[in-house]
Amino acid sequence: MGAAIVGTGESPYVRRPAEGATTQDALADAARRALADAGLRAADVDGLAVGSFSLPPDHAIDVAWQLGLKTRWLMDDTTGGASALNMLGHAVAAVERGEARAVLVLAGDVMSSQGFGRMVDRFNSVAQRYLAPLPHGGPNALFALLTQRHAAAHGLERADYAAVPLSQRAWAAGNPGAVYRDPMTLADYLAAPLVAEPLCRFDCVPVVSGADAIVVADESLAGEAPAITIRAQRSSFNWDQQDGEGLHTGLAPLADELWAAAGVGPAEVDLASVYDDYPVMVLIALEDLGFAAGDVGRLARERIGTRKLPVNTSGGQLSAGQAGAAGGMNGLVEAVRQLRGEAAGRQVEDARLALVSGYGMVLYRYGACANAVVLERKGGS
Amino acid sequence: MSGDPVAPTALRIPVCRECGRPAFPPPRACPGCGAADWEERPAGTGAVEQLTTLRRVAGAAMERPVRLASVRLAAGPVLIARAGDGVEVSSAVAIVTLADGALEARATEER
Repeated sequence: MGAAIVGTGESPYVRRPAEGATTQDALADAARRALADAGLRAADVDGLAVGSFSLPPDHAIDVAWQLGLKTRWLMDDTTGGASALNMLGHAVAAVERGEARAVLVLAGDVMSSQGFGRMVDRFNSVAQRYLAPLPHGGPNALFALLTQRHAAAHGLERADYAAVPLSQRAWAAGNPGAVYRDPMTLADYLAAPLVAEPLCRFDCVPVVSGADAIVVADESLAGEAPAITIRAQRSSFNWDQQDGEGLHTGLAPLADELWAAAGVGPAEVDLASVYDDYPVMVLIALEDLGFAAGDVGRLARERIGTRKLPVNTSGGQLSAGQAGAAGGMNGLVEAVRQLRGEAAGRQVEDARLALVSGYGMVLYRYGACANAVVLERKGGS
Repeated sequence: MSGDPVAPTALRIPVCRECGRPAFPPPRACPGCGAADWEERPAGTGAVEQLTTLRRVAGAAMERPVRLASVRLAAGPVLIARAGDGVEVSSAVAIVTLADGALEARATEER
């Protein structure tokens, strides 16, 4: 029995959460929307996966109880920006093994900037001991250093990296769900306050509150909308023991295998949702996956910047906002919506194949988790 | 007890007794050979490869921006440290641990 994504839902992203709003509220709202989209009820759900930074002391089991879900399969995910695809992969496997028929996958956070700041200082024991005392203030400075290293290695300038936030802001103009939609020019980007050179305000994801959800189910449960199936998926955790330069991810050694298993290549993909914690990571992931053809600058300027290669068509986290652990789910939901023809205002024509990638969990200097999936629209119109 | 502030101490890093590989931050298992048998040795000098000034946190300008350096130790590991006075890209540095736990890269004459 094949598994497919049969529904999506997003609890609207907001800059400041409403008074008294909780992470549980956002997750419940996204869940309700996804189930409605899938044409399913809570009684139909027999699997649940939850990814959220701010959910503790509650866990997925508490969410199951709150939402009235009696399940045969359950997981909590803590892989940050890799969580969406990590949960997707496990949910697909559960459905294919017959352990569950309909799995609700949720991710999100209701968080303030201050809450985010507290979280990054306590992020892991290495951050507490070696980074928080500096202080490092979170991952921005780390990826500023990494961007400098990448720029030197590839001969790139700020304007090249700007292609990522600029193109994504242009895509966001067609996404009512994006929080940041004001048009942005290169002049705006170059004049923006620096956070840590060479990164400016527009290179760093804005913290928002919200949540995303998908339903992974047996293909037979797909309603009128086309079922979205997984052609191939690969994942990598701690691939280089944090001993490298961060200029490649664990996807690099897996790319050939991913495309061989998918039976298609990068050139056949209609759009990509690439985890965009920073512009440099969008370029790195796409290069690792074989989209750069040996010239990262050209990828940035001539493919991403021109939007000939649709990347992060929701606006990505850089324009839609990062709702904590929902960051990766935003790209997955967007890819599914594009493939189902539900992206009015930014629709990629006749989208049939999508690449979605995840990245996360900075161990010390860069992320240690990376994953990628090739999605396909099955039949339908 | 004199009441003097705690003096900065030179950073020591674990080196695998089995294969001689240094590691930082300290892992339990040696990424080279898998052993869990370490001895601490002086980190030695390094070179600043990248440098940035952290100016904004949580959407607001910091009262005191922090200069942060990526330092490659001659022994191999790369670490993140506060950049001391006069430290720039390519500076030869030695790493100390300050009283507040922060690592600081200080300019040294050594190459």
